[in-house]
Amino acid sequence: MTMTRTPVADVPLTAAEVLARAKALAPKLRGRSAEIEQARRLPADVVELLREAGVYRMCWGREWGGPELTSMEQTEVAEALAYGDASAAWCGVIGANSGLISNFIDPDEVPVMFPSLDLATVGVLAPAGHAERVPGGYRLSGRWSFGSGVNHCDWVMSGAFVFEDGEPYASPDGSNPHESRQFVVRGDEVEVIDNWHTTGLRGSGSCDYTITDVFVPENHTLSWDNVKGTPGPLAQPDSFMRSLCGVPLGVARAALDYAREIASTRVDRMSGTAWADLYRVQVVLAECEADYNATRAGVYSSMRRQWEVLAAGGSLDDLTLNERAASPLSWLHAFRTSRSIVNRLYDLLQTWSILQSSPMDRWMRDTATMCQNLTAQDAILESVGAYLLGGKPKFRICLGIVK
Amino acid sequence: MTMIQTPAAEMSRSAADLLARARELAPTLRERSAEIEKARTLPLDIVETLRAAGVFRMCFDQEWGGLGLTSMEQTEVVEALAYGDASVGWCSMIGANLGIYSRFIDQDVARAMFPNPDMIVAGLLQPSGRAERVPGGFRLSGRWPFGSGINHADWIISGAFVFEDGKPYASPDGSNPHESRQFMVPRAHAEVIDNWHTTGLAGSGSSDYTFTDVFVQEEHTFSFDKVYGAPGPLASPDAFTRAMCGAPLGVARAALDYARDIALTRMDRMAGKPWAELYRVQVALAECEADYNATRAGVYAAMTREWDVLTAGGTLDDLAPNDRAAIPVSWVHAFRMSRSIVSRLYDLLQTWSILQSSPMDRWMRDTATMRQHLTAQDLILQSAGAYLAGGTPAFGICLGIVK
Repeated sequence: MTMTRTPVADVPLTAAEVLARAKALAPKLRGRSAEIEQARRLPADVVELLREAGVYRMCWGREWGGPELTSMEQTEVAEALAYGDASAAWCGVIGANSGLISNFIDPDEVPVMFPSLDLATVGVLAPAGHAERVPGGYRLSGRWSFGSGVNHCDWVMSGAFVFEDGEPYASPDGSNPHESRQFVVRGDEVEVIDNWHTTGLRGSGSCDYTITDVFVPENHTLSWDNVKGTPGPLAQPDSFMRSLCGVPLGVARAALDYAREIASTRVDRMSGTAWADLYRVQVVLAECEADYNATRAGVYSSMRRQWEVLAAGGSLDDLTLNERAASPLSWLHAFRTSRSIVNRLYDLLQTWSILQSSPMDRWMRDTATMCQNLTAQDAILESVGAYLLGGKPKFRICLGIVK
Repeated sequence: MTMIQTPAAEMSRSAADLLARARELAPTLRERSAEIEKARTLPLDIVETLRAAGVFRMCFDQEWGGLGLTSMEQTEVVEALAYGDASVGWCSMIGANLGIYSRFIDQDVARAMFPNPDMIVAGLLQPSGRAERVPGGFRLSGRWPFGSGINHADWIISGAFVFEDGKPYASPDGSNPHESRQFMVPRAHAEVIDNWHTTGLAGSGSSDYTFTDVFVQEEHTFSFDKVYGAPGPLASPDAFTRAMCGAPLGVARAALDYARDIALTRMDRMAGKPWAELYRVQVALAECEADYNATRAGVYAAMTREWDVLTAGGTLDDLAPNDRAAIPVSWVHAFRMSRSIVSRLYDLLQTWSILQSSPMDRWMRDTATMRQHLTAQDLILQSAGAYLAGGTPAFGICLGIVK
């Protein structure tokens, strides 16, 4: 726990620098994937590599001295890191949330909480905890699942339902019969339960954690409908979800490049034909490439359209119905198509894929696990479908609807 | 660790008996799956339990002391064992094939080689080794991958190309410019390379093995185009591959039952409804059930048709082309559909699937690995397609074509 972390020396100050460093880091991360998996969390020095690359500061606005990457640029960083190791990228993107949540915190408190731009904030936003109103703030308790990166973070943000005198607390404006908020506590105020024993994305250390009766001052809590910083495309309730799909996209690109490299050297023993000349190989590689291109283009085009509208001072309500629906759909599509691409390439390489020494094996496991993240669930399809039909979306925040 | 005790007196007396025993064993096998995986081979007490139950004698006829199961009955036994543990189902089928190979060996020699019907065979039939003709037999050398069950086998079967005076040996009848044969060698002569580090089917112990200049007498070698035993449905070159698809079918049934059990008890917190009332759950379960039913019926229908023709004294050439093609295509379909069913149920259960303590996690890994077996490859589809279109099957043996 290093709340008074001294600024990282030689920090990258522009988006291009952060992206270049992420790309340069990828081979190093790939080389350590087996070790990262084995540890079931990011090794401390890998966390420092991410910090030095500027990953944790990438969402901070220029007014705070940050490089203020656009959502598209953040996604590119996620892709670049995931090209090396999916767990490192996953934790990198999640840890970079500090700059995003600063938009929802009182500007006077921001420099107090974040003396450095390179602090990692992680946590689970689903309201799984209980927050009792007390003078000056709340007392927070609960258990949250899937706290990716919780072992190495500086701040933990957790969703909880609000209670007053033990009773559900309704929003004063009548908008919500039982209010929930986000609560930010120091990393050393949570207890981590070492239960992340998974087959995929093992290195993400996405353990359960508990918080027991911790006082959280009012100004360390936030709600997505209350922007306190400068309005802009990143001061939006959906901004923290946008770049996560860079992780599956990066893995898909890595698998495509790997499979192509293998295919270009292999000869089919039975027919004596080079793999490069086999119909099966040609069609599978090309079809996966087509799916990748379309999926990636779908992600960036919906993100860019949204960015343009928000940067021009508009809100998500200024998007057309189809444009607004396109963003969460593109995230889901990136997760699912990446997994499908990895599986098809895994099958293409046949028994060469099944050994644990093959990166294809790890990518198969990583994408299977990733696809169980909420962003890739049918709940997103259901919510978007409901939105398009004028029904009631179950999980509205994926559309940036918070009221 | 539950030791399985099986008094010899309980040896199965019939196909029905053996199937009942296999079903009884399944829950214990399921309990020991984590241990089996960890060992990366079948624990010896499990091998002995299978042996004592009569699993390895199922392909020998009664006059050899066997149980004389039909291919359909063999497949049912494999399904029942794989319902407990995929690696056990897998190794059982492979190990029991001795009763099939014995039909291609001189019968007096075979009786001397296999003094009891409970011996276990392992090995790789694809010609990966080199056999030099010498007086009275061959000198065999080579390295074979995927020797499932090799750690506990009594006999090893291996395919090898034949050489004479260092030159490729052509079949005397001109049918083959470079002959290959199967070589039966006692397990003691094989050196096992402990390299089976896979993500799925880890318990099958499918390590590489080598033979170095081992003398194999002529009578211990064979070719699938020459039957020595009583003619019949199991004295057919495709007989040893038929029941393999029982492994993926058993896993699919296990996953379907498991997912249904879970669905019966779970509540959707967001919707406040039991899972049993959720559209998503209902449709996914029913769709997987439909796919399972059709896939399994396809396997047994093709196998039964073939069995009827062969039992009536016919040959594979007496099958209609569609019926002949239906056999290997049904195997591919079973492997692939079983993996697809497991994947969909894995996704249905979402984050409950990703922990290594979930059987869904193991089934996902097992079916991904199984799917890389030759029986599930595009090569089979190509061969069946070429056969139907009048082209050249690359892998004729899957259609029982050995010349």
